[in-house]
Amino acid sequence: MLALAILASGCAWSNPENRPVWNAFEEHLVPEDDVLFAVTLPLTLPGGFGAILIDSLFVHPVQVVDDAAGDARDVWNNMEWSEQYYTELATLPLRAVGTPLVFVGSFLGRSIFDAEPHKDAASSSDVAHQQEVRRVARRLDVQKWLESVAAGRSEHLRPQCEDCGSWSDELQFSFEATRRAADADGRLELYRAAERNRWPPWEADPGMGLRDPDPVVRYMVLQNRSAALSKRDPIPEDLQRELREDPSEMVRLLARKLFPAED
Amino acid sequence: MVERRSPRRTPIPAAIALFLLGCVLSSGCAISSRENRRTLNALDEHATPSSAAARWVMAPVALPVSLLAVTGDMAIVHPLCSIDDAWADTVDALWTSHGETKFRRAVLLPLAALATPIVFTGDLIARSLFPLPKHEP
Repeated sequence: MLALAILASGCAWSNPENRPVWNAFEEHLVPEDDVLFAVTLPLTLPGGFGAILIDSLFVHPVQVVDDAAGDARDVWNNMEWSEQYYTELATLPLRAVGTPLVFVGSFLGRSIFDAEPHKDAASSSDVAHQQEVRRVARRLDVQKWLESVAAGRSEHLRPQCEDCGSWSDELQFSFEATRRAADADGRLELYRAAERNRWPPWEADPGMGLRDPDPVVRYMVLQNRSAALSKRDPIPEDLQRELREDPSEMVRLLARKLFPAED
Repeated sequence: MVERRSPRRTPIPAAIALFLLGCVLSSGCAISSRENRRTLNALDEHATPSSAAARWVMAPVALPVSLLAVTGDMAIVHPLCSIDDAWADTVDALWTSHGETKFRRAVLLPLAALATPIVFTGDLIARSLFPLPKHEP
């Protein structure tokens, strides 16, 4: 068992950085001279085996404890509490159970095999890179969602994209194409998502949903418009007038209730 | 006289618990896809406190809610939402013509009828457990 452990741990041992006792023994106690080397072999040979054992069973495992701890800490990385609060909470038990398992597995693996040292993702360039990767991923999510709405599949997950990074030309193009191609249900989802996430097309024209060709869409957008939103982004007077004179009776009645005409 | 011992059998409750644990662990694969976590996503979208302080204060209540939500997604919501895709897969596999002659279809009709519940159930279980793509028409 011991021989097997030594042979297996020879994988870690193959890297000179993982055998400090052996290195010190070889450097300070093994003579360079050929004659002395041969003469002292009966002593240096068992000493060398002892050095291998100490490195493999004690020193190198102690060396990798912090790397294994870093691997276990990684289980708690990349948690987006502001966007996936309940999802992250649901993963807490799994992360709690997984942390000691990852630590033990990483510790054993790093003790036996020669693995790269753990790198903490704490440097500002790493953080910035990760943030950019997340922004790109979110833009792709939005792109995919827009395409699904345009194709009539508005059940797709509504994306959270408060931090899309810059609203790209591709997204603008897709947004306009979706607005043209989607059915009424899809357009309603589009206006809701644009308003909720304050996407640039909505910021440029907050009344876009109120000018939709479908009267049910106009009614739903008007009905769901919150008081806070109306204060922050009031509907222009001319649009209020148009809605008060809307061809659809339901839209007219609601608009006259919300924006009574000044007599 | 030799005493005969009855062979050891796993108690039924333990067997059921193991089966359920297996289902939970397997269905964890389906839940790993964000699209299949409808209840959790709805909670994330509509009930997330805006400030970090509020999130900390709500955590003792939100944690059991989130665990219930993910369990509900795994055991109820996602399987229910997979019914239409499973049915569409079944119809596509057994009842949609792929260039067969009318006579061949007539001969295979009883087999298709027999296989329908089996294919549907198997497809539904697979879709409930694993993150499979939605049925494309």
